[in-house]
Amino acid sequence: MPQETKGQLRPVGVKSVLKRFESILGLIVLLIVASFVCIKNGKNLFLDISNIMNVLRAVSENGIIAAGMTMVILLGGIDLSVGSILGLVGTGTAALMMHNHWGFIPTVLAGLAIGAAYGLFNGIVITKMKMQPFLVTLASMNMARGLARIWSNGAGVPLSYGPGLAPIEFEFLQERLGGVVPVPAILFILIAVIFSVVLKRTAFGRQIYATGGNKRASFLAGIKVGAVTVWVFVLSGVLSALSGMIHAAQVTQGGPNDGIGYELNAVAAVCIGGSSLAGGKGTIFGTVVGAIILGLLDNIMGLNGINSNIQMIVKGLILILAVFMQAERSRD
Amino acid sequence: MKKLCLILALLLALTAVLAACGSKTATAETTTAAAETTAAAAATTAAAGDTTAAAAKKDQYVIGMSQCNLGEPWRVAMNDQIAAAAAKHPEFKVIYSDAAQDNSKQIADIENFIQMGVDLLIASPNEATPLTNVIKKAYEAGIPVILLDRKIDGDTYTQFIGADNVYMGREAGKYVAHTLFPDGANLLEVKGLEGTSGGIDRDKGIAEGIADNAKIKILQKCNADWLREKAITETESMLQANSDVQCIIALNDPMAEGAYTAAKNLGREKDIKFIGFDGLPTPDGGIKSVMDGRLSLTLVYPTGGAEAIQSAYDLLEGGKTLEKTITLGTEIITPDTAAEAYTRYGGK
Amino acid sequence: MPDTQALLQMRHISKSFGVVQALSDVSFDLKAGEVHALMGENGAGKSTLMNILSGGLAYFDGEVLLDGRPAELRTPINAKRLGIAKIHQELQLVPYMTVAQNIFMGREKRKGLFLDDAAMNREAAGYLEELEIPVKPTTLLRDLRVGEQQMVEIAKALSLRSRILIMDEPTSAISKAETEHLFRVIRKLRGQGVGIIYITHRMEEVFVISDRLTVMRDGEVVGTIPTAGTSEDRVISMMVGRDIRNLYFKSEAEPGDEVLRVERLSYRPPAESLSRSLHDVSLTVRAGEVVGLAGLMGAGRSELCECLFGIHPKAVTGDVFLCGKPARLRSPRDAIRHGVSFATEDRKAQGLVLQRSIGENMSLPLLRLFSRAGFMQTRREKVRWEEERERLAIKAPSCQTLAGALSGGNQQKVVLGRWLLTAPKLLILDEPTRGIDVGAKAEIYQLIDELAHQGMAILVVSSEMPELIGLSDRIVALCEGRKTGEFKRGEVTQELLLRAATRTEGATHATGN
Repeated sequence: MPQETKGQLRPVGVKSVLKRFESILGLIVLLIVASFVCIKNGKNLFLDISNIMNVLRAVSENGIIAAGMTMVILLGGIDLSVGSILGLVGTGTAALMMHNHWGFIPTVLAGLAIGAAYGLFNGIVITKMKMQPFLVTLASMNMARGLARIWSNGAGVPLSYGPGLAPIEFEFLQERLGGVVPVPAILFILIAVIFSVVLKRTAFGRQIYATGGNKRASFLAGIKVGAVTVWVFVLSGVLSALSGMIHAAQVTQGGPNDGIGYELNAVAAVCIGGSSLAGGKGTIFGTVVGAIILGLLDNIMGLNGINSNIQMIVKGLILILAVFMQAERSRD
Repeated sequence: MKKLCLILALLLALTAVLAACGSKTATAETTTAAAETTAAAAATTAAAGDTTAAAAKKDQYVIGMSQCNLGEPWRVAMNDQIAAAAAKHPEFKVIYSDAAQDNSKQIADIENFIQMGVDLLIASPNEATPLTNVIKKAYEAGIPVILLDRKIDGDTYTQFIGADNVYMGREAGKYVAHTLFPDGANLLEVKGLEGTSGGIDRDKGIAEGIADNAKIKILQKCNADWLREKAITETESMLQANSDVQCIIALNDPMAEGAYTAAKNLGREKDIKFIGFDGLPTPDGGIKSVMDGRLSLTLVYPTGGAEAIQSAYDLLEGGKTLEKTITLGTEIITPDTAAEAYTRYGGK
Repeated sequence: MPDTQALLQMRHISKSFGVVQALSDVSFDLKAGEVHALMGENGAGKSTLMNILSGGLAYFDGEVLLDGRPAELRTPINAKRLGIAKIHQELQLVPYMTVAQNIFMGREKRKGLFLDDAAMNREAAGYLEELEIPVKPTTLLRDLRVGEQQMVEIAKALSLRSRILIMDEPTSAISKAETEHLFRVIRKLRGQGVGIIYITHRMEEVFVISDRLTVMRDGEVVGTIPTAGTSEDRVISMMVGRDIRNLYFKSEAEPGDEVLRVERLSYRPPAESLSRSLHDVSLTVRAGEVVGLAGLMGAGRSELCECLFGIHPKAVTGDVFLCGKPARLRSPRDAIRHGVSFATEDRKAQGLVLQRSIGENMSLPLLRLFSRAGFMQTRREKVRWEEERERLAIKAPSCQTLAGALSGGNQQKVVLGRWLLTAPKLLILDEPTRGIDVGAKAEIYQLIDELAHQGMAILVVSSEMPELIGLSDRIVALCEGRKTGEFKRGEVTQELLLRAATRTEGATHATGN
C-alpha cells in the first residue's frame, strides 16, 4: 500500500470520494429499488409514512445495540453478550416495576446499571486476565441469559400500566410522538449523533481509533489501553440495557428469552456499515446505514410476501456482498 | 468504477427478482380499486373487522398468515393444511411469514401485512402479551383476525380456533391415573414455551385429570420450548435427578420423542411410559410414534388450518358473522387404535 | 544505437501505478561478464525496474532486448526461461524442503512416476561444489544460515542456466566472511560471462565489486558511469541531487545539568520472552548532550531504552534519576509525564497507527493537552501539526494524509514530530535513520544537532558506527547486556567500538571514567 515512489501525484478523482461513501450508496440504491418494487394496487406501500416509521422503529433496537458494538469492533474486539443483556435488563426492569413496584427513574437507572456492570465485568476480565473478547463475552452471554431466567422463573413478565402496576412514564418508550414518530427511533438517532461526536471529536474517540489501529503503538504513546477497553465494553453494556428496556416496552413484556441472536444482527449492521473486524476502521454513521439497510431488506421482502427461507438466504448474500465491497483491495 | 458497476448490477438483479415475486399481487387490481375504497370506508365506519356486509365481492383476496415458529413440525402441518384448503379457493392468495420464535419479528411481520392491506389475517402468536398490541392494531384497522391455537390478551380478534387444551390435558391425566397406573406412579412433565396459552391449558388439564388418584405424583417439571432437541437435554437432567420414574408426560409429541431418546440414552426407556400431544398423521408424527410403541398415548390436536380457510370464505365471500370461538374436537390415540387412525387421517 | 556487446538493453521504460509515476523513460543496459551496480534512495525506482526485468509486471511502456532481440517478459516464467534470475531480499525458498528440492522446485526430475531424488541430489551437489558452498544437498533449508540460504538461491539460478543475475541487497543479513565468499562467487560468475545487476545501499561494496554503476532518482536515471573513475561523494551527490560535503553536523556545545543518571540497572526478562537481559549498566546523559549506544545486534541496546521508558517496570532493578531526582517509571505514560520520549526501532509496528492521519499520530501522547473537557481542539492541533510538518520537511499533501501512505523516511519524521511535540527533557532514539534515504538522513542529523543545542538530552542507538561516531558527544558500548566501554568524541574509532562491542567481559575505555 505505501507508495515508495516519489513521482508526480496526479489529482485525486471521483473514485476515492465514491469509495468513502460506498455504504450509503448501497442504501440509496436500495431505497430506489424499494420505491419501485413495493407497489400494489397502485399504492406505493413503501413510500408511506407509517411504513417508514415502522421500519425505523424496528431498526432502532438493533441500531442502538450496534452503536455500542461499533466501538467494540473498532477496538478489534467483539461483544457477544449484548442480546442476553437485552433479555436480562428487559426482564429485570419489568420485574422491578411489576413485582417490586419500583418507580420509573429508579427502574431505568437500575437497568442501565445492570448493563454497565456487565460491561465492566467483560472489560475487566478481558484486560486483566488477558482473555479474548470473543470468549469472555460468550461466557457472559450465557451467564446473563441464565440470570434472566432465574429472575423471572423462566416466564415472561407482562407489563401493564397504572397505579399498583408499572409506572406510565415507562409506556412512553412505546409511543409515537405526534402519533407518527416512534420514540425508539428518536432515541436511536440521538444516540447515533452523540456517539458519532464522541468518536470524531473527543480525546476518548481518538484513543479508541488509535488503540484499535495499533494497540502497541498506542501503549507506547502513553494511552491507557486497558482503561479504554473497559470503558468501551461498559458503553456497549449500557446501550444494550437501554435497548432492552425499549424492547420490553415495545412487546409489553420482559422476556428472558428475548434477544437471542441479536448480537449477530448488530455485528452484521456494523460490518455492512464498513467497519473492519480487525479494528481501527469504521464509523457510527456507517453502522446506522448498515442497520437501516438490514431493516429495509426485511421490509422490502416482507411487503412482497417473499418466503421467509428465501429472505434468510438473501440477507446472507447481501452481507457477503456488502463486506466484499468495503474491503481494501490491493492495486495491480 | 468496477465496484460501482457490480453493485448496480446486483441490485438491479435484486429488483428484478422482487418485481417478479411481487408482480402477481400487483396485476388485475385496477378494476376493483374503486370497489375496495368503498369497502374500506364502510369497514371503518362499522368499527371492527367483524361485519363485512358492505364488502363487495372481489376477484382475489389476500390473506396474510403470520406463523410464530416453523421450527415446530406441528406448525408446518398447520401451514400445509391452510395451503391445501386454500387451493380449493382459487380466489384466495395466502402469504406466509415465519417469526422463528422472535416476538419482535412477528410484530414486524404483522405490521407489514397491515401495510399491504391484506383482506384477512390468520395468526398464531408467539406469546400472548407481546403480540396483543399489533393484533389489536390490525383488528381496529378493519382487518378481520383469526387466531389459531394461541390467544392474545383481551378480545380484539374476530375468531379463535383451537382445540380445548384443558380438556385434552384432562383426558391425558385421566388415562394415566385410571388406565395406565391405577396403583400409582411417579411422573415427570415436559412443558412447552412458558408464555403460550396452549401450554398453560394442557398443564392445568393434566393436573385436574390426575387429581382423583392420590398415588400419582408429579416429581418435577421442565421447559423445553416445544422443541425436540431441547427436550432431550432437559429430560436427561430430570432423569438424573429422579431415579424412580414410571411415566413422562410431554405437552407435545416432538418433546415426548425427545424424552424417549433421553431415557434411551440412560437405558431406562423400557421402564417408563411416554405420553405426548398433537397426533399428526405424518411419518414423524405422534400417531406413528404410538404405532411403533415409543409412545403409549397421544391426542390428536387439529391445527385448525382448514377451518380457518372455511371461516375466511364464510366471512369474506359469504358475508357471515363468525362465532368468537371454534373449539375443535380431539381424539385419543392408544396402541389399539393407532394403526387405523393413521390411515383414516391420511397418513402414508 | 544498439550495442552489439550488450547482453541486456532496457529502452525507454515507463511505468505508473495509479497516480504515481514510478519510472519515466528509463534506459539501462548490461554487458555479459559485468557487475553493474544499481543505486538510488528508497523510492527511486530500482525495485520497479528490476520487477519488470524479472517478469513481475505485465504492463509497461518501452522495450527490453536480450542479445539485441526483443524479449517477451510479461510473466516470471518467461523471464526464467530467458535466463533471468532474481535473488530477492526476502529469500524465496521453502524452509521445510531440502536444498536439492528447492533448487529443482517446479522442474523435479522423475523416474517414471516417482521423483528421482538421487539424480537431483547429485546434480545439486555439483552446483554447490562449484560455488564452494560447504552444504549437503539433503540438508533442510531452515537448518542453514541466511548466508548459506542465499548461496542456495544462487545455485538455483545457476542450475537454470541464468545469464542475468539480479541481486537485491544481498549482504544485508550476512557476516563479513560470507560477504567475502559471495564476492568470490560473483567474480567467478562474471568470469563465466554472466551479467550481474547488484542493488545496494552500501557504498564500500560498490567500489569493491562493481564495474559500472547507475544511479536512479525519482523514477529516472541520473547517470551511468564506470566505477573506477568516480568517488563516493560524487555518487552520493548523484543520488541526492545536491552536494553533501559534510553529512554530519556537529556544533560544539557546553553540556548542562544532568538529565538522566542510571546506576546499576539490571533487567531480567521473563523466561519465554526473546528480550535480552541487562546487567549492572550505568550511564549519564546531560542536557545538550548526545550520547550514542553502540553494540552488535542482541547487545541489549533496545532493551535498555525500553527499561528507561517504563515498558518493563516489574523486571527492572537499579536506580534511575531524572534531573537529579529518583524516578520510578511504571509505564510509558509515566515516562512521558516525566519528560522522557522514545522513538522505537520499528516505526510501523510500534510507532505509528497506519490507518490514522499524520496529525492524529502526532497528537497521540498529547490528547489531554489538546483537549478541553474531553473535546479535541482541532484548530490548535492543526497549528502545531503544520509547525512540525514544516520543521521536519515532511513530504505529504496535508496533515490529514494517512500515515500508511507515506514513505519510510517521512513516516520516521512523523514519529519524531510526535515526540518533539511533547517537548521532552530526554529523547531516546532507536535506529532513527533505518531504511531512510541519504537526503532524509542528513535532515535528521541536523535536527538532532539543533535539539541538543537547545538543551535536550539525547540518547541514540544505531547500528551504523560511522553514523554514531558522527553524531555523539559520548558513546557507550554494550555487549551481551553489559556496559563494556565508554568513549568521548574525538577519541573514538570504529575499531575501538567494535572491540568493545565484541568483548564479553571487562571494559575498554579510551579515557578514564
